[in-house]
Amino acid sequence: MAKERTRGQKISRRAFIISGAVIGGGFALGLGGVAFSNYKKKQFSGMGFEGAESLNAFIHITPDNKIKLAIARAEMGQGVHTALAMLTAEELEVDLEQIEVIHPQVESPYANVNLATHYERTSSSTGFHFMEKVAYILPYIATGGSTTIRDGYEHYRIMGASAKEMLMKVAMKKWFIDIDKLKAEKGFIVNTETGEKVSYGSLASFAAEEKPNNRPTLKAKSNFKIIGKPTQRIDLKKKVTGAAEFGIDVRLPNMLFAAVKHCPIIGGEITSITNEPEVLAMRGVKHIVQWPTGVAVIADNTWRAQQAARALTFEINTKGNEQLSSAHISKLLKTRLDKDIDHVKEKIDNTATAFKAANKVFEAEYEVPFLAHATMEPINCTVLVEEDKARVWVGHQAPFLVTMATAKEADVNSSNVEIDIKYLGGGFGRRAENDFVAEAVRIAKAMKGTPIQMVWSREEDTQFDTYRPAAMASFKAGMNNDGRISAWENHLSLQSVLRSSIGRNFPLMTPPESQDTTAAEGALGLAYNLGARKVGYSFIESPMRLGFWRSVGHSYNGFFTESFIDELANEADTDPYEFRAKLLPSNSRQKKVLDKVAKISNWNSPLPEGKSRGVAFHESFGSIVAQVAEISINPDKEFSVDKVFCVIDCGNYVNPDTIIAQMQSGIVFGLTAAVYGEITIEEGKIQQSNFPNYEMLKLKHMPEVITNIMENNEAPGGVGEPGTPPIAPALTNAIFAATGERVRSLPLKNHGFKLA
Amino acid sequence: MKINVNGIDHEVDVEPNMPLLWVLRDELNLTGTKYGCGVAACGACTVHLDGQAVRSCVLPVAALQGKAITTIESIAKDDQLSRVQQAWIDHQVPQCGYCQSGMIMAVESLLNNNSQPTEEEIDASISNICRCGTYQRIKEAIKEVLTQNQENG
Repeated sequence: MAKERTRGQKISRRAFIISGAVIGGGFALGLGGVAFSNYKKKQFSGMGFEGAESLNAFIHITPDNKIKLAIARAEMGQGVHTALAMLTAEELEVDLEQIEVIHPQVESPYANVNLATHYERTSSSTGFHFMEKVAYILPYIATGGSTTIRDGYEHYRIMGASAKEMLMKVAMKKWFIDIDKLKAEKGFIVNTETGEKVSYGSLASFAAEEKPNNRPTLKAKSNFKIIGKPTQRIDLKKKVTGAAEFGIDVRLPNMLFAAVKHCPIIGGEITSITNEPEVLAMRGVKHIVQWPTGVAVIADNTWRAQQAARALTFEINTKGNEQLSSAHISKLLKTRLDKDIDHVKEKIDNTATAFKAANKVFEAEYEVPFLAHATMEPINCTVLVEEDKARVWVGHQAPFLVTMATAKEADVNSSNVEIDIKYLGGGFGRRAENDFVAEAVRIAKAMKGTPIQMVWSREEDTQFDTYRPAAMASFKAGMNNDGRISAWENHLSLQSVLRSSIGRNFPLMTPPESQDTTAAEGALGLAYNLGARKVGYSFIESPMRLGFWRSVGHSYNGFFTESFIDELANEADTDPYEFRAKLLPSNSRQKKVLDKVAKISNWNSPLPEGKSRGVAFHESFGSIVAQVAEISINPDKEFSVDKVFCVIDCGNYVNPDTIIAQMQSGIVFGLTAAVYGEITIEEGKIQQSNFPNYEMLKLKHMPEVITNIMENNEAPGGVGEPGTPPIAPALTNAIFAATGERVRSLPLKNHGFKLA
Repeated sequence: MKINVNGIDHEVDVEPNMPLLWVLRDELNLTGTKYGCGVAACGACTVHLDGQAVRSCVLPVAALQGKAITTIESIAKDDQLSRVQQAWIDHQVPQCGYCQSGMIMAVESLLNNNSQPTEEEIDASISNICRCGTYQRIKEAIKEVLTQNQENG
């Protein structure tokens, strides 16, 4: 705790310096004084909030009593606009219908401090605390790591409560009565003595002059009217009528469209276009733009641009990657795996001694492939570059990277970059990258004054992705005769996501190999009692571009660890649930989650012939999830996933209906990868290109998901990602239970299994 | 070339082989119909052609003369959501929402042609891809509309 406080004080000081605000001591709010900075000196431009009075950087009230709420978090399906609006509405005492969500510009008050420091806090290593210090300077505005509610749970309530207090102070003066005679209700301050009421909208201009209280009293959980109750999302009417505007739907006067063709060889470059005059002569084509890794054709219609881009022929420099293959990368991974661990991140006691004393030693190796994100909305970005400024319309998870990339590519000052963040047709980590923004700006810069919408074809989206890395793991466990584990070694071999992604997006911040905190996440600090431990990773190098993919390191470590635990249960001749339960501390949150999933799945009840169950348990992003997959499988290896029982402990939660939806979503995402997901490479080229060869789960495959949310008063955990890691091992463990076949590499289709 | 979209005739100056999707999105600015794959694999571009669900990304515009094209924009009448759309909200189906225009168009067409499809018929005809995994709620929403159909005889 003492350490936490020291770090907090550092941040507070930093925030104070950046904002120059007169209100100090704001670290408890998560964002220092900047959020209240309107009091003396605005630290935000107010762009997008014109015509409204700003009570703080987040809450802006119009004369007709609408609340314009600043939310600098991407709505990519996970329901954060609704959840943050719920937190605000609860304390501000307004109806959700009164709130309009507006994405602000890239400005300090909206930094995501929780995400900026996420990988430091979850790391078992020390040092590299740079991010928390610079979160405000950048400012670090991004959505990922399942952090939105963890960052905003207290913060948005404080903003709502503080704004309500300011409104009440004005009403006190107006009616000359004590604050306890006033009541805030549905956007009005009510005089309980006379029954008179006055709207927030009519008080707002006076309230904006009141000094904000940055430590307002928040409601007790037992008094919540909105938080914790299933609540309808605020974005759905637009999403069922076709009216929701995604990045790809932006339409501007005189707009042109661009299609891109990248060098087909991974890491290669296009040296020259060999048929430029012919392509320029195609109908609607206006311009061709070339850069090392790609070529764009600008035309007056997306289809015409796509046709022209497909017609391009060019010469390339393969950069020596023309022989790159999946087999080659697998060999690199295996060679590295067979050597000692390069970066040991967890060490408890002496494993060598413990193995010597063990009654039995068991070993196994696992492998997973590269994966693409395949967001339903293909990658796109719309840009207008003018003489000394630029505007960008895009669905993006990291607006601060959008601003940086745009300023650099357009060669304008970052204060002259205006962004308009749209709904995201899926993100999953792909839209946290700036590669496509930089391309769109490069293209638009070639035709200054004309807005240009760059859309990648599905093929380009699949073949120029920033992939989830292929990875291998070796495990070795020592067991005693009582079935207890006395020693545990786990070595991971892969390429570094953090070095690849940050190296591209933000080279100055690239961490050293030893500080990639994603590589072993989900393999470190396991709640199981495993005796002596040694866990770590080693990296290979390859020309593959890697990125964050829903649940990141957990996406493979969940499969690895929970498969191996299941193997150990079998070696110990113990029921897989009982085996896990014995390894977890009694009365722990983890044990309660595991016990609950056994209960709701009727784990001990017999199943008919041809059906089986598998269980898996994994903690990630501050939440604990256990799943039981119930499957039907025949001797021809045709199977269906009939039911998935899912229990999550995410502490205090906001919208339970969203959590249920996110568990379904995470499970489908993980199942798709487990059954079909595989990006392969031959002769330097990505082999998959579109949905027919990069398959997705469909309606007919959907299991019935039964979700149970644990009730407690713990700090909020994430929900967007934690549903994904457990499902692959729950499924393969069920397959083992039914067939005796242990699946040690994914996807299942490569082992002859077919999803019926 | 003349095409009829949502009851309105439009004169468009495009190649006969331009897919309907791009006429809708880039020529008529009807952006509710989405681009997902361009090869009729995902269904995000689903519209109705004389009431039948079709994937507009592979449908050359020349083949559409004299036919009635309906897009997601005209499913709600005077701000009154259709029963499918309302069921989508009641069951909180959409997440990112990108595939849902096509999903709703596919379901509207299925139910217009068959007021009581079996689960197998639903599974077979709704082959659209949803990357957010909203399938369970789609099934529940369809079930609710089927119950309403039954009650309405």
